[in-house]
Amino acid sequence: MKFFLSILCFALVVFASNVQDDIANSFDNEYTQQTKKDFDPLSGYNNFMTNVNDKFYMHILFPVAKGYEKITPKPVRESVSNFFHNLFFPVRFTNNILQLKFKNSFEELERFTINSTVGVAGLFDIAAKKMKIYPHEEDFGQTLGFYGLGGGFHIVLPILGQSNLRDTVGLVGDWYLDPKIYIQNRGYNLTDNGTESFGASSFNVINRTSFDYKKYEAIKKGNVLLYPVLKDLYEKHRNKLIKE
Amino acid sequence: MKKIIIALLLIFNVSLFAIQGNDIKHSMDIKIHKALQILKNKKNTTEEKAQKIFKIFDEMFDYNLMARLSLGKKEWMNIDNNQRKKYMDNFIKLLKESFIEKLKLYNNQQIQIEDFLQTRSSRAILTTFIVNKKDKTEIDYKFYHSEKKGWIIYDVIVAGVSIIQSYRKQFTDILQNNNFDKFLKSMKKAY
Repeated sequence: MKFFLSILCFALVVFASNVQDDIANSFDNEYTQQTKKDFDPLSGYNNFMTNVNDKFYMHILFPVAKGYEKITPKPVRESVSNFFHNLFFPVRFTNNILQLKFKNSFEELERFTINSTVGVAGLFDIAAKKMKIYPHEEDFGQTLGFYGLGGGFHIVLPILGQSNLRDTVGLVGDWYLDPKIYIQNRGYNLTDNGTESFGASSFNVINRTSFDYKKYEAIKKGNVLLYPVLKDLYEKHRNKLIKE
Repeated sequence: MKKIIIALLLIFNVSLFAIQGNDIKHSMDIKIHKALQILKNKKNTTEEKAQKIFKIFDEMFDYNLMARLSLGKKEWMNIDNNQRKKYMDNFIKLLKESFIEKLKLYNNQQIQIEDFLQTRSSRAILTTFIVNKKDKTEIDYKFYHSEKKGWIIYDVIVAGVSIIQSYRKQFTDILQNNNFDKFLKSMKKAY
C-alpha cells in the first residue's frame, strides 16, 4: 500500500513539473497547423516592395501629409475627402448592381444626387448627416470575390501597397470608372490628361494620408517584420468586406 | 484503497472549473471601464496611461505562454535558458510597446463586451467590439483555465488577426535567415 502511494506521489511530482511544458505543447499544436498554408510565389519581391513603399511613406508621403495636416483645418480635409469619395460614386454604384444589391445601388444614387447638389459638388456629406443614407463601399475586386473568385496570390503594388491578383485586376476596372483617372477621352472625364489625373490622384492620396498615417505608424511599432503583418491585415480585411 | 480513490477524485476535481463565464465577463467589464476612464483623463501622457492600464490587466495575461507560443516549440527547444530569458524580456517589451502605440489611436470610442463563450472545458473566447463612428472592430480575447490563476488570456485577435500567429510568422521568417542573437537585435529595434 505504501509502495503504491509513493509511486502515486512520485508520479504527481513528475506530472506537476511537466505541466508547464504540456500546456505550452498543447497550445503549440493550435498554431502550427495554421501557419504553413498560404501560397506566396512573389514573397521575395513582395517583401522588397513593402520595404520600398515603407521608405517612400516614411520619408516622402508622411512628411508631406503631416505638413498638409498642419496648415489645413480638419473640416477642410474632411470636405476634400467627401469630394473625392463622391466622385468615386460610379464604382460603388456599378459594383452594387453587379452584386445584385439593388437597394444599395439605389441609395448610392440618392447619395450622389443629394451630395452633388445640396452638398455643393460633394464637399458635404448631407445624405449621411441629415438623411441617414450611408455609403455602400463596393469595388470590382469585391465583385469578383462576391462571385467566388479567390484572392489568388498576394502582390504588393508600388506606392499603392498590399493587394492580390484579384484586387489588382479589380483596380483596373475601378480606374476605368473613376472620373478623376484619365485613361482615354471619355464623356465623364474630369481630368483632361495624364498629368492632371496624376495631380488629382496625388492630392487625394495626400489628403487621405493625413487621416491615416497614424494607423500605419501604430502597426509598424511593435512588429518586427512589416510584410507578413500588412499582408495578413489586408487579406482579412478584404475577406470581411466581400462577405458584407 | 479508499484514501487513494479519494485522493484521485480530489486531483481530478481540480479540473472541473467552478468559475462561471459571467464572472469573467463581469470582471473584464470592470477592468475595461477602468481603462477607459484612464484613457479619457487628459492630464496623463500616453506612457503614464499605459503603465496604469498594464497594472490593471497584467494579471489577466500569461505573457510567458504568449512568448513561447509566438516563438514556436521547435525554436524554443533550440535555445538555452539564457537566450530564453532574454527573448522573454524582449517579447514582453515588444508586446507592450505595440499596445502603447495602439492606445495613441484612442479617440473616445466605446467598447462593447459581447459574450464569453466556453469552447472547450479549459478554453474560452471573450468577444468585444471597439465602436467607431462608421464601423466596429472586433477584438477577441482567448482564455485558458489555469489551476493557479483561473481564467487567463493567451492570445488576442484583432480584426481576425491573431497576435500570436502574426508574431510567429514574423519570427519564423527572421530566424530562417539569421541566428538567434541577430533576431534578438531586430526585436530590440522594433520597440
